[in-house]
Amino acid sequence: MSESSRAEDDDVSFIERSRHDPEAFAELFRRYAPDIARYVTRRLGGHAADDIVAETFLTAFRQRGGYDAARPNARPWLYGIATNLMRRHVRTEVHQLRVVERTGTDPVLAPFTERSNERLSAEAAHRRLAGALAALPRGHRDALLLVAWGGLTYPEVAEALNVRLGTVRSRVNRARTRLRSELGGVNPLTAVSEEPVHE
Amino acid sequence: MSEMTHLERFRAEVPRPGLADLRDQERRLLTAIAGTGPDAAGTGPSGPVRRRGAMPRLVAGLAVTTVLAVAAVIGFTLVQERAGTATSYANAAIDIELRGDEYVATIKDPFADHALYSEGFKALGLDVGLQLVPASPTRVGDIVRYGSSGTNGDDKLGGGLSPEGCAPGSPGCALTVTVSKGFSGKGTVYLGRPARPGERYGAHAMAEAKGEMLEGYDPVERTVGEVAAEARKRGLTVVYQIITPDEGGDGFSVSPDEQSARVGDHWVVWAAESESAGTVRLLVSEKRVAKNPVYGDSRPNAPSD
Repeated sequence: MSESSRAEDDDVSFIERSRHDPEAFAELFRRYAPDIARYVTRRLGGHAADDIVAETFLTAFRQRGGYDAARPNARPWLYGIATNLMRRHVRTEVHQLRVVERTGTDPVLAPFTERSNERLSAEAAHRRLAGALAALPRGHRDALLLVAWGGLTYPEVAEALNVRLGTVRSRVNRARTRLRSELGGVNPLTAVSEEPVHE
Repeated sequence: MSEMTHLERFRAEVPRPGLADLRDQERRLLTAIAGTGPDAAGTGPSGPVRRRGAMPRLVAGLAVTTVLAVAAVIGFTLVQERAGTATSYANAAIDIELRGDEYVATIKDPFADHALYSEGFKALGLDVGLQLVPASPTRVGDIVRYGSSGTNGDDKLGGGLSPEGCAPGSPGCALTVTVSKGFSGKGTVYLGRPARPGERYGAHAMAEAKGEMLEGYDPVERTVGEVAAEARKRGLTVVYQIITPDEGGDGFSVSPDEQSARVGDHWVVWAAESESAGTVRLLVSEKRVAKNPVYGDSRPNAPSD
């Protein structure tokens, strides 16, 4: 099968095939579940992530009949579903970020580390970052984190969130500006336009 | 250091899991896949999740018991293929037999004490718990939740209706659970069963989905007055869950203290769920917000018309 064409390896070909042969869908899980699990875990913690990752792929499997065959890459679609499922946990996310901001300990990391003492004094910048993320409007945080942690391009974020490209640009720009200003140092006005500012 | 680098460092503390760490989630997907016939693929965003032929709008849950009670035996039977190796088990609640590479458990009494199910699995050396959850008609036979530990890659759990696609409540249609031969871990399956009259469903279902109470009507983002009128026309009772959309229109919360407010006809319905036979639950807020706080931008299986 070495000569299988490039197109046959596209996500969409597995989705199409899964309409007759449902097992083909499992390939999407193998391709994307680790990244999506990490993304959701970073945002909500492992407990919620376990369920959301499973639900993301179950939802995708159920909705595969409506998948747009013009999109070879299923990554934005899957991140969009995951993001949508995370909406019910928005308070959890903000709460955890506030804990990081206030105490410097990160509830999300509890299962991954025993070095809590080290972590306590760590990263003052993390605390400011967490506070800034918590303060962002949800839509801005989604757009920013899909870019920063999901690795999506702006057009892919637009597809995932079902919003216009211009909206994504403005949300990410504003979110980055906010973060920069919280992290200190940069004049937010300069950052907004990314153009020279004349006094 | 730019804010993007800060973000990257923040994320870097969470390791990327391997597929081996995601076995439970993968198995849930494989279970769903296994429960889908070769021609049961979703045909469109509004297509049913599972096909099982004509589905009665309301399942007379007790009919299942009546039909199956005929086959019920008193006490239990263990059949041994070879000395010491039981291959089948039967008691009043469950029949389990080895067919090829898997045990197939047929639920004879979906309202039995759950201990009777576990007893059957245990007799065959399987550590499998089965919890039957009252479910709306379209979710009967679905695995609504699922858990396992200490399992390996060959261990599989499944569930559904047998014969596949049969209508719950019709003669000979039974809930089944499958467990792979040699299942080595501990597993629990929560399977949707028909609800008793008035019993609250333990599995979410959208009320407008095919086979559910508001089939053919799209209640989402209409006013309470409109949806309540449609529900009345269909002889349904309406209950409300008052939600508080988060600022910015993304997500919502539910406060138990705010549930006693009087819901007005002008309030907005954001989602409708099946609460129990004859009752729909509307998720409502007084104020209309720009974006649906329950579904956001991508509503699953929204009616296409």
